[in-house]
Amino acid sequence: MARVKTNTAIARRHKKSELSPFTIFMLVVLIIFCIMLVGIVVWSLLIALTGNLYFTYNRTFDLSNLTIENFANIINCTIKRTSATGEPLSNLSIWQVYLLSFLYAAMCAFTNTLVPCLTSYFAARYNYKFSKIIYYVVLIVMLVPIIGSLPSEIAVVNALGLNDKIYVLWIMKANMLGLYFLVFFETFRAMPNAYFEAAKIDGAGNLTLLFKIAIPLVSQIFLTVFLIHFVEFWNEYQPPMVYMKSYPTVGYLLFDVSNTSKGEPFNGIPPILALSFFMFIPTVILFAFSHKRLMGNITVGGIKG
Amino acid sequence: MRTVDSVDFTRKRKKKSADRRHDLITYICFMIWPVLQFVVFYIFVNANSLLLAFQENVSGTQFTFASNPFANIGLAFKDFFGPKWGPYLVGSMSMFAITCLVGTPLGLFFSYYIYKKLPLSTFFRVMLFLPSIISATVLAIMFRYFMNYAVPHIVTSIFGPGALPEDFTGYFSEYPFFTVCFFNLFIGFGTSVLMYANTMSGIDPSIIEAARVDGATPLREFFSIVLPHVYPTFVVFFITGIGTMFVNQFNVMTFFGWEGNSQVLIFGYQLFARAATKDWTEYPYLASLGIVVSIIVIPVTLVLRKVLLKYGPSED
Repeated sequence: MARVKTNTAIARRHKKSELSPFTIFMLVVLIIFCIMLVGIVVWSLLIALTGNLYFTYNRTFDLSNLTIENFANIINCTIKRTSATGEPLSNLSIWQVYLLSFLYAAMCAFTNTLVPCLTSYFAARYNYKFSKIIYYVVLIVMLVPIIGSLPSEIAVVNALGLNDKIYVLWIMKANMLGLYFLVFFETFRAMPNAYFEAAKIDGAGNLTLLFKIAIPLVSQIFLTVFLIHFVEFWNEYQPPMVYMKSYPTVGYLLFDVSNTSKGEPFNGIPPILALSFFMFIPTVILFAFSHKRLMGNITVGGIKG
Repeated sequence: MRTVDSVDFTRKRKKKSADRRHDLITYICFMIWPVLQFVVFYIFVNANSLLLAFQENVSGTQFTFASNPFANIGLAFKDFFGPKWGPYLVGSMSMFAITCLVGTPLGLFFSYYIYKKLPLSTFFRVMLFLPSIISATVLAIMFRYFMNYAVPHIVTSIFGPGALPEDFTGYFSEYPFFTVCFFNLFIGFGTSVLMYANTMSGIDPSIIEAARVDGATPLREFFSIVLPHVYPTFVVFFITGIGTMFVNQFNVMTFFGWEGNSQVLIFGYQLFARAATKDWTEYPYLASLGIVVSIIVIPVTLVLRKVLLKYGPSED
């Protein structure tokens, strides 16, 4: 009992010694950071709940006069898309834009996770010279930054007839490159041979080994990488803006309405902030349910299973 | 008996050979897509970028080799170091320098705070990561209006209506460079803080304990034990930052859309905006510019990485 008391006292003393002016300064900076972040989001929500007319004249919110009219207007609006020459491209409801965004983020995340996973499996488990070449190609591409290839990329996409197709970015993201190839590669390489040998003796073919043994063993990593990619693709607006103008995502729509005059219901700051929350909410919900997976598994060497 | 053995051996050899053939067929089937994708969207795109630099636009999307194939590259070299692109280079480098000089130390200190599990560290970990989850577009919009409308309101409520000039249009509108800079710092801690904190958790507790017994303060502990341990991680971030400095748009497009040029001069933004407008006549010049930047950045990045890893602080 006395020993436990002594240990607790030592721990308390350590904790106390760690609270130096340096750490107290950090605490203050971190508190300011949090207040700012929460303050910006809360202020934006209050403005989104303020009538457009009220905000135009008062430049602030009125707690006694909050309304959901901006959100209701967005739900009921039709988004008209026109080309640079003014030709109509598509008329979409906000739900259709939502669906497109979901499709875009989910499919891009899926292809961007699946291809490195499968490629790394074959590179790690099949002892061909070509596997080594693949591994070094991924490493070199990561190390050597090539700048300014966007014009060429646009020209290639155009030449392949993929421009403004809903699947253009699914194809472009289905590449083996990037950090997650290395993560999967190391995991597959570290898998014990015994699993595969035993399955082979039982008559398992290559596809059975892949889909019934290897993939289930990396399913947790696969899900984590998929979620990280999903958030990334849900939030981005530039690739859809460049390659699929007829299929706007929420991100692209938000960027568009906040930088150009788009007419009703996006005239004014409260409706734009209301639209921001349409984009903001899914990621926050996802984060609430998977923050341990998203945050806990990142290390500089890759991802823990 | 020998015949049975020999039949068995032949059968086994045949099976092995069939297995190998199956392995190879499966391997080829699954490798076709990633290789084809890589060839088209990496090799061909970059090769085409190289070729574009020596071409000129004939009409529409048609290009042909220029009579003077080095004209674009020559012009891009001249412009890159001249007044045409100089201000954009300075803008990108200033933004990167501020991010490094202010953001990196703060990120390291925050990580140290989380690593030491000091009060509210779990909460701060989530809050610092939150901006990485929220879209930069959403945060930029909220931040822009907050700086333009809420902050002046707070300032005038505290210091009185005379605190700001009458024609004051908001902090974001009046000081675009600094607010964009501040925003990039504000949202940039997430992944780096997590990675630094996770790397710090790999420090042997007995080393920290020994330092404590010797009377080391938290500040001394940070600089003498923690910093050398996370130095390789810092090098990764720094080198990646250098490598992407001239493609990084620093959220200028997110804040200003197509009007960013008149507000904050950033090289990556300018390069992207001019390519995204799909003016085909510009592409040979932009491709040349990309090559010029790559020629400069690639060796700088590789040499810097080697130097930083060789001469950085050691845990010993």
